[in-house]
Amino acid sequence: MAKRNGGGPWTFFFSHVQRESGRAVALIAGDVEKSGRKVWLDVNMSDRRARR
Amino acid sequence: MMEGVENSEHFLLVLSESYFKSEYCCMELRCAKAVGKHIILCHSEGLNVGAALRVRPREFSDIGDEASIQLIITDPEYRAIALKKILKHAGIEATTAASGPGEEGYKAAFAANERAAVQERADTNTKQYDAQVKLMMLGDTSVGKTSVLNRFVDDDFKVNIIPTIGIDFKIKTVKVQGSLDPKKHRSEHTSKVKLQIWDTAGQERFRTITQAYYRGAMGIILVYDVTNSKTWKNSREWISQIAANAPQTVSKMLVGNKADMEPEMRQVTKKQGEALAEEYGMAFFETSAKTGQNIERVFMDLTQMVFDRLRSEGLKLPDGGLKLTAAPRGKGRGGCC
Repeated sequence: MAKRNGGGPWTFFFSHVQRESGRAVALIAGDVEKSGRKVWLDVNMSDRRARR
Repeated sequence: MMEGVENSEHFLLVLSESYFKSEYCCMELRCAKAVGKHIILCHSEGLNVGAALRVRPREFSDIGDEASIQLIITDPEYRAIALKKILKHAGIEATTAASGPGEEGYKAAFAANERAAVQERADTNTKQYDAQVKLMMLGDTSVGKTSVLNRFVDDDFKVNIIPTIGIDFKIKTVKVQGSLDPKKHRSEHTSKVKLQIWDTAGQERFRTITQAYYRGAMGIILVYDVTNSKTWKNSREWISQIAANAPQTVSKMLVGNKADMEPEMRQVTKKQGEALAEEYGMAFFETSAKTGQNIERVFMDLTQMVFDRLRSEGLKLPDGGLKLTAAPRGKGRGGCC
């Protein structure tokens, strides 16, 4: 599995409000990665997570 | 973040209550639109998609033209379906996901067949109806076929329901005008009709399963979503499928569902629906599974149409074609399900 956000290009960019759809997105993004696709998901961007 | 958007092939917009209130989400979406990214709309389980889209800024008014993919995570099977849908929208289904109905599709169909067989075996001893009529619900995915059926049979409505896998059915017994006995005058008698209503998955991958059921249908309800013009346009394709697979005499009804939605959400006018129905000689209703608008009429009118046709065909057939569907009424207790 490719490292998340670890260098593009990516197949999918997940745009979401983390507090509302964070869990669903994390699981689905994991599934997408398992299917061999690269994903950009901003779960580690704490500065933005706090503001969303 | 912009680097992520610009260097991603597809932009997955995961809609939620505050998506369009989030400055960052709007920024990401604006960027995606500016660089012409393919946008795939998704939403979490339980979200009122219509309400969440209603607050979108004017610059994003095109978002929602396509049906939203529901990200169901509570059930592994449906989570896998969500993944397949995402990959399909991205045009990469063939290499990573099954393009056919899959094991779950066949399992659902076998289970439904078994339940129907058990039901029919039980009926042989306690026939409580004069005739059995098989109806079928068709139409694109997410137009509300299951919701329409649930409203009619159970008088129930849920905002978010799990997409139908393969095929399923529900039973309801109703009364129609007329008798199968040709000697009895239509207006003076009523008959009990057991409806077996088959609810099909709208997804393309289940088509091989659902088409196998067309030939047994006596009446077909073709549903589109008045807030999604694509589903209305696709009705022509469904009508071709019906012509190719269903009996020529099948009674058909076109239904524009979600008529309760706000006028600004509507993409198909009532006139457009009526015109399409008229073109193909179909009856037409606009419905709302949410409010119950016209739901009863759709099923009752179609059942009456089928019953009248069977009655007239029976009168013409020398060996009594109605024998195939008519059943003597038994002495046991009433009830259908």
